[in-house]
This record gives sequence, C-alpha cells and structure tokens, in this order.
Amino acid sequence: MNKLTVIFIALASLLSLPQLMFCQENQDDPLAGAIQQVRDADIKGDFKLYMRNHSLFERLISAEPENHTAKYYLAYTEFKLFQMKQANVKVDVSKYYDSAVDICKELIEKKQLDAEAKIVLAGLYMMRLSENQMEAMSLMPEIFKLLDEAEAMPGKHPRAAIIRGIMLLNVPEMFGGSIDKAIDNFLKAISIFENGDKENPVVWGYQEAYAWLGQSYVKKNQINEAKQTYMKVLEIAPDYAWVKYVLLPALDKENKN
Amino acid sequence: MKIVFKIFFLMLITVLPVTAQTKVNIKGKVTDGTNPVAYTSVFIQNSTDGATTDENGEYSFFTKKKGQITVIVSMVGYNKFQKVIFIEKEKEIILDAVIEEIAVKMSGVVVTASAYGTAKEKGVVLDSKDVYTTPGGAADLFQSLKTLPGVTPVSESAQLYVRGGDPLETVTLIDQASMYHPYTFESSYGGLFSSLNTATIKGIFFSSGGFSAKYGNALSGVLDVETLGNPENSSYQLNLSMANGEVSANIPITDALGIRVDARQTFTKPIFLLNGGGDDLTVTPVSSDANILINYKYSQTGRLKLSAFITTDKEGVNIEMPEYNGEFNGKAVNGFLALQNIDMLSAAAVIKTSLSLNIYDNTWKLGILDINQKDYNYKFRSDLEITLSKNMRINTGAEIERRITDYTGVIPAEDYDMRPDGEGDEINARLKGSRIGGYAEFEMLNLFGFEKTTASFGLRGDYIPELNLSWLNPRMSLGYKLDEFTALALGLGIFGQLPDTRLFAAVDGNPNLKPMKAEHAILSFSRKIGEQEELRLETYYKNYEDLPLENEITNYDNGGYGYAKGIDFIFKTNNFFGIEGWFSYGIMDSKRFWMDYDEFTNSSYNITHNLTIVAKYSLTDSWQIGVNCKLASGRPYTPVIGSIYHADTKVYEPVYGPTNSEKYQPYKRIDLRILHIFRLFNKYTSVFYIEGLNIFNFRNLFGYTYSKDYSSKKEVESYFGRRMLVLGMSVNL
Repeated sequence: MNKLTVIFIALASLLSLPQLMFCQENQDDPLAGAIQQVRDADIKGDFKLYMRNHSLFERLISAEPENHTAKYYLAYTEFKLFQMKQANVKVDVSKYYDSAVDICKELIEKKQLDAEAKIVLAGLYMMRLSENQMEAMSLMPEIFKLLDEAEAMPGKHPRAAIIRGIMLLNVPEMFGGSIDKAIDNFLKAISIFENGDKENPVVWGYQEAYAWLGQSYVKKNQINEAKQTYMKVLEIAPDYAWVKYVLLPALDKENKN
Repeated sequence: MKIVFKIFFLMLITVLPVTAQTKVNIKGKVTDGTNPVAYTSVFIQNSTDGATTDENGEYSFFTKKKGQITVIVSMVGYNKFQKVIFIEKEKEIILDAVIEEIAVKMSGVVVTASAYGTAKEKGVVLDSKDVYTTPGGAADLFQSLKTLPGVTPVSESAQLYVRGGDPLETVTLIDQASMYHPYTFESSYGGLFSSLNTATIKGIFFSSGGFSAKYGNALSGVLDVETLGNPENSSYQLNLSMANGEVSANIPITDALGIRVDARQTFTKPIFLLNGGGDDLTVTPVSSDANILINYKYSQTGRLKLSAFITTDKEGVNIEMPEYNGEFNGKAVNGFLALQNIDMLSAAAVIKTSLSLNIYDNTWKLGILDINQKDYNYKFRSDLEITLSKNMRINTGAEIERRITDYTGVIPAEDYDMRPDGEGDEINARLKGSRIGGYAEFEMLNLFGFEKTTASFGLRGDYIPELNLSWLNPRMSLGYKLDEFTALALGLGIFGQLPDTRLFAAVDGNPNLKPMKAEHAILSFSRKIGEQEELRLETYYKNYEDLPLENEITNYDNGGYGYAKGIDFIFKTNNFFGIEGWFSYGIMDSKRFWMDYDEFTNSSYNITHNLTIVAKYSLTDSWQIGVNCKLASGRPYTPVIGSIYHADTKVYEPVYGPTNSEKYQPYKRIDLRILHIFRLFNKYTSVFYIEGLNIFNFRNLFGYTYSKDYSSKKEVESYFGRRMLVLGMSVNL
C-alpha cells in the first residue's frame, strides 16, 4: 500500500467518524445510559446530576409516553431531589414530592413496576414523616403496609428491606423500631444484591444498604463493625460521597473525641 | 489504486450528506422573565433530543429532525412552554423561552418581632407536637401558649393575658373566621380550656405584639389558626383518660375529597374521685365537643374547606360569699361554622375567602344573678397575597363582621349583694354592630437595595357604621439579618379595638364609646443555633390610650390610659444534652387607669416576673419524662379595708383600699408527665401517660372570700390548681 492509499484511507476514516459515532449513539440504549447516570448521581450525591437526570427522563417519557421504567426513574429522581431539601439546596425541591407521589400512584394503578413504585412511595412518606412527626399516626402504618405489599409480590425486593430498615432504625422502639431488626433488613438487602437481582430493571440500593448498615452499627456503638462496613462500601464504590465525605469522617471524629 | 479511490469516494458519498443532516443546533436561554432558570428540560416533543439548562439558564443541543417540530421547556413548579418551529436548512436555531412559576414566592421571609408558630422561618417554632407534649397542658393550645414569655399566668384559666393586656385584647382567628369565645367553662375566672380541638389544627401563628396590618380589632395579641387539610391516609384514634374520652377518624374519600371527624367528652368526676377536692362541686365540670372538617380540592390550585364544631359545657359549684352561700351554675354552647375557599388567581396571586358564623350561648346563675348571653357573629373575610417579585409582596384584604349580643335576665343591683332575695335589675338588651375593615401591606426583602434587610409597611382602617366611627392604624416592621442565623427586628404600630360589647349597653354602659388605642414598639434579637436551638430576646413598650373608664355621668368614657413595658426571653431546644423543651422568662411593668380603677396604678395583670421551663427527656425509646415548671410574681389585687352596713337591706358593703395595691403570693407550679409508648396487641401504636399536676401541691391563690362583715378573709384556691393525678391512654387504629 503506497502513501497515497494510506492518506486516502485515513481521510475516509476521519470523515466517517462522526457518522460512526452517531450510529453508535443511536445503537445505545438511552434508558440504560440514563439509569447509569442515576447511579452516578447516587454515588456522587450530586444535586446537579439529579437535575440533569430529571430532564433526561422527562425526554425519554416524551419520546415514549408509556415507558414505565423511565417514569419509575423520574419518580425515584424526584424522591432523591426531595431528600435534598435537608441539604438546603437553592432550588425549592419540596415541589417534587407531589409529582413523585403522583407518578408512583400511577404506576401502582397501572400495575407497572408496582412493587418498586410502592417502595419509593413508602420512601416518600418516610421523608414526609421525618419532616412532620405529627403525621406519624397515619403515615407509619401506611409505610409498612406499602412495604408488606411490595414484598408479597413476585421477585426479590432488596429496596423494600432498605426502607423498612431505615424506618426501624429511626422509629422509637415503642413504635416498633429496633436497631437489630434494622440490621437484619440491611443485611437481607445486601445478600439479595450480592446473590443477584439482575432481572430487575431497578438498580439502586446496594451502596445505600451498606451505608445504613454502618449507621446502625454506629447507633449500637459497634464502632469497629461500622468502620469495616464503611470501608467495604468504599471498596465497592470508592467515590461514594455520602460515606467517604460524611459518614466515615463523622465516625472518625467521634472516635477521636 | 483505482480501487482505493473508489472506496474513498463511496465512503465520502455515504458520509457527507448524513453529517450535514445532523448539524442542526438548537440553543437559547430560559428565564422566568427576569432571572435565568437553571436545570430546566428543553426537548423536542416525542423525541429524546434535548438538553438541560445550565446555571445561567442556557442550553444547547443538536437534532437531525427536519420539518415541523415542537420544542418543550419543562420545569416542575413552572408552567410548561411549547413552541412549534420549522427546521429546513438552518444550522442553528436560537430559541429563548420565558416560563412562569405556577406559584411565585418571595425568596425569603420578612423578619418580624414577637412571632411564634408552626412555620419555622416566621418566628420561634411552636407546633402541635409542643402542644401535645407540654406537661400539664392537657394537649390544649391555649395552655401551651401560656408557657411563652409575655403570656402571663394570671390564673389557671386558658385565657391569654398578653404583655399586660386583658384577654379580650387578643383576637382568635380560625381559618380567617373570628372567634370571641374560644374557651370552655367560662366563668369570672376566665375559660378553663380551649374550644379548639388540637387534633384539628394544622398550623398556628401567635403574636404577642407588633403584628401585621392584616389583623384588626386587637390591642395586644393575635392567634391565627389553620385547620388541617385533606388526610392522605385513613386513620382512627381512640383516647381515654380520667378527664376525657375521644374518638377521631380521618378518611380520604377520593383524591380530592377528604373528611376528618372528632368527638370528645370530658368528664372530670374521676379526677376528683381520685384526687379529692371536688366537695364543693354540685355539677362536676363536663363538656362535649364534635368537630368536622371537609376538604374538597376542586382544581389543581383551588380548595374548599368546611369546618364546623359545637362545644357544650356545664359546671356547678357551691360558693361562699360574705352575704350569701349559694350555688353557681354555668352552662354554655358554642357553635362554629366556616366555609373557606383558597385559590390562585394567577401564578403570583393567592386569594383566601371565608364566610363564617359563630354562635355562643352562655348562662350563669348565682343567687339573684341569672344572666344569659347570646352572641352571634357573622363574618366575611377575604385576603389577597400578590407576589410582585422575588423581593416584594403586597397583602391586602377586607372583612365585614356583624355581631349581635343579647343579654337577658337579672343582675344584682349591687355587686356585693348576690342573695336570691337581694335587689336585682332586669336586663333585656340587644347590642348590635358591624365592623368593616380593610388593609394593605407591602413586604419587602433587600429594602432599597440594602442586602439582608427586610421590611413591611402596612395600613389598616376600620369603620363602625352604627357609631360612625373609624380609625386608621399604620404598622411597620424592619428586619436586618446579621447572618444566616441571626436577625434584629424592630416593630412599630398603632392598634385599635372596640371595648367589650357589654360596655356599650345603654343602661349601665355608654353607646358612644370610642375605640381603644395601643401603640407598640418592639426591638427583637433572634438567633438560630443549628437545627436544634433557637433563642430570642425582646424588649417592648406598649402605650394605651382611650381605654374605657367609669364615670358618674355617662357610666363610661374613653379617659383611661396605661402602659406595659418589659423584656421577654425564650430559648428553645430540640436536643440540649438529650433534653427537648424551652426556657422562657419575662419581666414586665404594667400600669393602667381604666374601668373602675381609682387611680393610675398596677394593672390587674401586672405579673412582674414570669419564668417557665418545659423539659422533656427520653429515658428509653419507649419512656419519656417531662416537666413543666412555672414561677411567677403574684398578681395584684384590690384589698378590702372595711365595710359599711346597710340596715335596710341587712347587708355589708365592702370598702376597698387603693386599686391593685396588694399582691397575691408568687405563683408556683410544677407539672410532671411520664409517658410510655407501646404496641397494643403488638399491632396498635398506643400511648399511656401519667400526669401529675402541681406535684408539690403549692398553694396558689386566686382570691379571697370574706366574712359577712368583711372583718376576716379566707383564701380561695382554684379547683384545678391543687395537686392532681391524671391517667390516660391513646390508641391509634
């Protein structure tokens, strides 16, 4: 092959590169990409990323109005944004609560990803409960009812165990709270994740289960177990911001004191 | 070589048109009219082509679509923007969008003095959890408000004596409707508990002075109550204690319609059986109340709320008086009905309108006294909030109120002779009048460009057509945020209020009385310490003019005057070494010359020192202990220094010393509550509590009774002031 031939081929390759890239983009599953970005946002705890993902899922639903997975993730993203209320972000994220509840109820009614929608709805009620404990009497039974219903449905539901665990961890013992039972639930969730929950299009929760398990150990004053748990999750996700920058430093600080 | 060229040209032919097709760049900026809106979705309808705006509101994306497309701009909380465009050969399309907020809000809150409430940004937080868990407070809103500085414990009653003011100087609003008798068991000592059921309350705003122009016909304080909205889930509750039994249900009927009902019966007999002290009671105090709240969300932004309740109570007690020992009987019915509509007129305008009716029927009997009061209050009120920008809002509104009060029966000719065969005056009076009020108020952040400042300037006017009386009250509040957690506030204003309706009676009052007037000046320092603690220190001066004063010719005139000045301090915590509660202290000096006072002297509510500590501590997850300590200076009273014998009626008339020249002993009380939360039958969340009221049985006097010739006196205690033990339980189904 002479030099001219090589130049021609190189030029042709360069000219065709955008086309090849475009084809590649089209071939990719945009939903899968979006879900991956949700996980990135979860790991980084990044408000801006959640907002971008929100926009992304809105677009996916615009392109395919009956895309229930996208709807589920839109609700999940809004759930996470609503959680950021406590982080004092500049945007009024409280408005996402109603929207997320509506989407979850729609999915439950249509029996689409309804078990997972029930779990997110339970999570939303849990957040509301944390804001106004006067509603405990009506919301708490509803949260546990949703989780029971979700777990009674076919499939594995590690996220139901996580939300149940968070409830059990934070609710006073007199209301049925229990650190030990919370730990059991987080361990159950981790076990499901580690033994495969691959058929489920919903992927969040693995790192969160570890983070909450660590906090449970802190609450039991089992500092070594807590530290090991945090280290373990950082092995799985080295950039998991919540553990790396919040929980672990707080544990270290407490240890020093 | 030819083959290579062929391949090259083939690739060129296939690639070039496609790459040219994909290069349509749509970009622009999204704003709300003035400011950029970040994180907004901009996309082509029915496709995934789109982008998110950056922090400058700018976006950019590429699409290969041709022809007619619809671009959508979407952000939760904003109206959706849609634009149809046509793409032909353009390589770049610039599309700016303006989206409107569905509900435009100010970007902060105007700092005001002396405010308490459920909204944490509007003052020191006092929410329904505080009301429920205040030991000794019987989960009663008014009893809990009495633990705040500036609200003095003049008696065991629930009435609010705010910064040296008479209880009538504090107005109570429920969903915009006025309520002039918000107490049960009203007697000359005042009402014992609130007519409002705490279970129906969503939010409260309480101000002990310097309040907004929104509130009229109140000299000293405001209690503004918002009832609950639609229940999210069905829930049922049973409460049973030695003092009452209660059932309540919250039922969402549809997504838009919900109902809350509550019925409660108090029965104090078990308390007296256990604790004693009820020997003088001929009818142990009992009350019944029923509440209903119906909410209907008729549109995305509008909702109708119907709130209604009826309360009945009765009590009977033997009373010793110098001239006569007899039985006092009191009974009352209080009915309330309000229909409220809340809707948005536009993204920036919220309107709240209420129509209400409150009927109060009360009878007191003691010896010759046999008086019935019927009070009808009809009211229309509308409030409009218009957010002009992120930094400015105008609040305006109007109210029309018609009040008719009937007094019928017999009252003693002389208040020292209550004997059944004593001389009495028949009363059959109807007092009626209307009040038309209106206000406008500007709320501003960053006043005149000065960052960290907030201000509100308001003006309200009230007009009484029957008396052709009107008054204008300017009010203002200036705030300066030293930092995110620390603020200074200055409140100034003039406050007008009509005297008590009974003083307008033609026979023993004066139908031509003018409104009373108070001028408030308050300086406040507040600081939030993290999420857990907050404190506030305030100093105030309140000047009274045109107070009703007895005179020989017209019975009453407006020659009275007075002042109240003092310092209030509160420190509230959610976790101070595990303790939740508040410490409040007020020091006050209040003098008046009004009503039957013979000189300018201590007001009857001049409680110099007022200290309250409310502390709750969780012993375990299921046991909580709480304590409510109150220590206050004694209340002034007018001593009897002698008597005159009237041979014709064979009764002694007391001769009083200087008005309020003596004081009762200091008021002391410590209430304790132990609370246990558990799961009944491992299913129903339940609360069991033991409450010890005045556990050290401190003697707190509320008056003296005298011998027949007033030569000796005997102390009188409140029936609910002595040591008592109350057990109760609540089950949530």
